[in-house]
Amino acid sequence: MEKGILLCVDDEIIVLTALKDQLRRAFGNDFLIDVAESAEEALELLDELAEHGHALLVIVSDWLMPGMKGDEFLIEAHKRFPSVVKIMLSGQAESAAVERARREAGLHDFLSKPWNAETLVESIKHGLGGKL
Amino acid sequence: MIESDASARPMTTESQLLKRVAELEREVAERRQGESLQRALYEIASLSTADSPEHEHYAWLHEIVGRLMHAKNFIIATYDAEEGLIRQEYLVDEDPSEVAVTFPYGEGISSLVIRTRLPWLLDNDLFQSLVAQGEILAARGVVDFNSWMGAPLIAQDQVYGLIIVQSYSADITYTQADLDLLNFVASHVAATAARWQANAALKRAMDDLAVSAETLRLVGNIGKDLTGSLDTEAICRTLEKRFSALLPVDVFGVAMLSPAGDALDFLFYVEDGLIDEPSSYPLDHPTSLAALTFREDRELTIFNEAQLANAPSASGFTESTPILSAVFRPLIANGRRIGVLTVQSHQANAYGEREMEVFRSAASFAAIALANADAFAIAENARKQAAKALEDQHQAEAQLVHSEKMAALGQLIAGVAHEINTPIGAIKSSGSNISDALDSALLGLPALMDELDTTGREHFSALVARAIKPKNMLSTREERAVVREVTGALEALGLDQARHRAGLLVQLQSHTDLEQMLPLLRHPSVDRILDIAYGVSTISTNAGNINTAVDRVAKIIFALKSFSRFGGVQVWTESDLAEGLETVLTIYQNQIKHGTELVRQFQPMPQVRCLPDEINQVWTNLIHNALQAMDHKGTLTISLSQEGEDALVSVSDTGCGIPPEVQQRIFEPFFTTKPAGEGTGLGLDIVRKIVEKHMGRISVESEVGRGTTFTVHLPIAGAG
Repeated sequence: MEKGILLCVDDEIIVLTALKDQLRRAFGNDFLIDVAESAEEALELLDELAEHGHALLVIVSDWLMPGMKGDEFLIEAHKRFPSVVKIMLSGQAESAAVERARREAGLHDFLSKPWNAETLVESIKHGLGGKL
Repeated sequence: MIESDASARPMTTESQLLKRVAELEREVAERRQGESLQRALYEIASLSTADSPEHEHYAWLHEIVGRLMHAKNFIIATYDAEEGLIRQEYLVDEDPSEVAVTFPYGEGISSLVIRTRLPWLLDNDLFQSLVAQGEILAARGVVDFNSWMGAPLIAQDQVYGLIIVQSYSADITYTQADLDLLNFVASHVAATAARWQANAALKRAMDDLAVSAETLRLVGNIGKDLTGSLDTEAICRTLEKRFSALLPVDVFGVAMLSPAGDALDFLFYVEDGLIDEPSSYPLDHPTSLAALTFREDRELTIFNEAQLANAPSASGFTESTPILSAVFRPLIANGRRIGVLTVQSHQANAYGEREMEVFRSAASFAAIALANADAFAIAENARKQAAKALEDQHQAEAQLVHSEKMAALGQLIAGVAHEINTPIGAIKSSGSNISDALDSALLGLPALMDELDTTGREHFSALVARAIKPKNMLSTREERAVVREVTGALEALGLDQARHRAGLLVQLQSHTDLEQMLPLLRHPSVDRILDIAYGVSTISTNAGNINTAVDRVAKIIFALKSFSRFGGVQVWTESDLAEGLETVLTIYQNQIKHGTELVRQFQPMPQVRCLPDEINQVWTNLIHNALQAMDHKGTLTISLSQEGEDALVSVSDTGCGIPPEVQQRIFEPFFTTKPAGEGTGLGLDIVRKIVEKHMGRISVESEVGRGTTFTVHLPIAGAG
């Protein structure tokens, strides 16, 4: 059985770099950390993961990205992986979009940038509940 | 997100759209007309400062009217009631054979306007039927107009002349609204004409008197004194002084017809050197001699004590000495009774033939001077009101420019917040990553060193050395492919946790030569070895990440600073246009990300002498408009190049485009196609003004459905 996956989606490499190390230290022993620079790339990745039998556990996604926005992406991901813990991490998101994600993607949490490492880790742990 | 302009809404049907465009055009036209009218009135009022009309004043009037309506064929004529003549003072016509003429009142359409004292709008049919009815006699010249308008110049109930505009072309047919406008303008021109005419009358009176004998020379001095003064009270004082020098004057009074026309107001009344408070008598006052004089329009000479005793004293003083002689005379200016003048004396039979002659001549001067002061006061008042309105309007305009800027800034700030929060978030996280990694790496390192033999330490040192080398940036997709490959290789080597370790090896830049890594990968403490090396790598990676993020913040702060400077002190500076464009693009980065593809076509350029802040405002407006025009979805192309002496900057969008009829108007102030409250319509007006200040020019090319390109030419050497 492969390790479960934590996926971060953000169009900013600086954010992905910071997130990757942050989450690897907190969850690296239990999960694989994967990153994608756009919602489109993340959707491709979801397909691959499903094929390879990886269990996707958490998605942390930005909202404002070129192309598909975070709420749309999470709704799409929700259709394929309804039980995944979905967290939005954004410096600016339209409240209507966040509402929509809550309603249609089962959004677990919304965190705004600049974020606090502990808050993010706690939110992920809370979302995963007993799975950890 | 801001709604793009109405024509970009796909839901709108074409007919709704056309209707909306028509409505907008009408609104804008009204607003613009109001503004032009205000300016026109101001300019007309300022014409009254001229003493008499010259050709240039008429030409100016023509230009003012021409800005409000089609006025290629324009006539100003004056009406001389005394001579019964209509004089065309100014005539401009497309037909070179038309020249200004003077003709008897009664002839031509002009006489219709003057006789009826009404504005007239004629087409050929109406003209012919008026001729048939005998309303128009002896029309002048060849009547070949398509549309004709004439408005009388009426001030203080007197017709001074008329203004005529006409069109020969079937394309231009005046409407009732045009006529109303012309009549409105004419009423303002009339106040000015009244003053001009009063001046002319005064001058004529002066000329007539100049040839006279000693008495008239003395009186002439009054006229000279009076021409210099336009203030009623000053005129009255001068009159009193002059009259006293010529005649026995113990009482001197000037009464003017009230504005309502139903009373005589004594503006000035001096008895035995004491000035009385102003008083007023109704025209039908039973015993007032001034009222009687005015009513009967004749001179009143009274040396009868009883009659004088019955008259109400205009003075509040108790008369110590009785008045024995009094003369009242109507004041007549331009054929109109405007008031009554009186002189009185304690002497009996004070006013002989010579005195009466002096009195009459001086009274006619006084009348003209007083009428002149009156006309001046009206014109001056109108000018002040117009100046005030213009001032208010300028303030409102400045306010609008300011709010346009603030609205743009407001929209930007929301986006910029995200722009700053993102790198700050990265900095914060990378900072804590570094301190965590330092803790774990430094704490674990001594124990690991003890555990490794010499070869192991060498391998570990080499691993760390590779890990902290500057990173070759891979996209996440590329990195994932590499990780996948390395995972396969590790699995082939029979190592477990292949995927996890592959990720770490790629991060440590040690995945290319796995053979070299094998001793460490097969070491019992492989996890701790990789963790500690990874910790060291984290420190360098995140330090680099912080640098990148700080650069980003600095760039945004710089752009914001440039922005907030707009409107401050402007200095002509040699400036790199590409830098300015990048600054604006930084501010708009966030909006561009919504779905816009940005293409830069920057050629190397010399620096351009300009006002950098204002020029940046030009780029801001053009980029802002471009993004809105395509609702942030499409391609934004910014190009910068040199063409001869000019720098050329173009901003293109792939948006909805601008219909040709709208294109002509987009640079007009207050023209907007945005819904109310979303744009002041000043953006492109400001852009044009800034570009013109730089002696440059701006042009637009647009195709509906394809997109729009704005091109700005700026002289590299700067303005002048």
